[in-house]
Amino acid sequence: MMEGRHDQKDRIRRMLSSLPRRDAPPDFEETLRRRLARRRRWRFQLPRPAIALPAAALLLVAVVSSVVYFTRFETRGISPGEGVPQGRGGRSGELPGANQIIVQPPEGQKSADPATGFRLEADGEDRTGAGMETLPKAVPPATILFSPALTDSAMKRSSRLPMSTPFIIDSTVAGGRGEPGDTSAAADSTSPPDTLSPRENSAAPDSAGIPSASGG
Amino acid sequence: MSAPLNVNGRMSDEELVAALQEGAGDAFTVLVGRYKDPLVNFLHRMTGDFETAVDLAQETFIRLYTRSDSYRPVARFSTWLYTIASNLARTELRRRRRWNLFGIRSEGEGTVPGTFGEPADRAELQDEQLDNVLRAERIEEALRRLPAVYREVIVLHYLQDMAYEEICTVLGIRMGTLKSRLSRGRAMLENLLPPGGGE
Repeated sequence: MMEGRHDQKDRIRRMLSSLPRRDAPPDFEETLRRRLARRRRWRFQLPRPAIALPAAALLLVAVVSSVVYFTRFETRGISPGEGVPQGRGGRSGELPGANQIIVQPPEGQKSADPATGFRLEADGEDRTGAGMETLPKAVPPATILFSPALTDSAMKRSSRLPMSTPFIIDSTVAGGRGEPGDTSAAADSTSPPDTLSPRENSAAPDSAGIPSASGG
Repeated sequence: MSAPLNVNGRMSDEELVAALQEGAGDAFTVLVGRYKDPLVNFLHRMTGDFETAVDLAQETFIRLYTRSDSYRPVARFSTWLYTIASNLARTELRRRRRWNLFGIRSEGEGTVPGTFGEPADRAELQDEQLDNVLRAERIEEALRRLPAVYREVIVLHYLQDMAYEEICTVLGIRMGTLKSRLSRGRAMLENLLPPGGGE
């Protein structure tokens, strides 16, 4: 076995040594000298691109951020800080204002509460629908400005509302979380809205999915 | 003021590099003259392309010139030089493989005339010479088809006559790995050659 391996080594060695050698061409050193000289010239030019590249990157970032600022905020008449509610955080892991939607008022109508900027809050009387008449009329969903921090989870929660809901409101309004004593939430969780019996249907909340103040 | 360095052809490689580190340009010229042929030959076997081999050899010498300060005499100069050349060859092969992956060239195309499989003029060759040329072609083709990890150890050991320890240093591999690659490389090379192709 060892002899076979030695034979193989010898055969390979003989085979490879029979290959013709390829030496460097005659102009090898001349070409090398030229390349070295060119490389030295490049070395002197290096500082220029080294400075120019970060400067160009900085300029690019400035231009892009300016364009984004003007298209997103300036053309819509709001400033970056306005859309995000202060001092009211969402659940852990969510950005502040993630479960909140800003509704634009219809033109020519006064806002219900100028201080809040037409934000629908889940607090107080809004839960029962009282004071709805003071709020602006429904606007098509396409005109609703979503907060930039609106997450997928917030979208899913708002999709639990009946389709005819004129407003997409904070999910806590719809009772989707099944708060104690909230029968509409229980009905919502056990059967789909389309399969209500006629009796249930007559007793069901109004088309907005929110029990009216008079009916409740 | 220091005396000018006396560079001559009898100086060892390490002495020449030391002189180069002190700014003696003549030492570089001597080193180029000493290593250009073996380096081009090695790179030619590694890449299979003579033009690329010459280009990579020049790049190796440029790196020697610009980074001679990084050489420490803990290893032989030739080992250091072959390490640079080997790394450049690997990079070139990797780049070429990437290009071939997305390229539309079929296998066998793109061979530069005067390299593998392209003798100068077959009509003028005598029978014996023709046999030699054809045999060399077959060996070169088999060598070219060998995976790069096996080809480099075969070339360094059998063509450059490097010792095992030196190859380990050049390629940065362990002795066991080297022996295993050599053994597999030999077996693969024999399989790639037609029966009696190398004889």
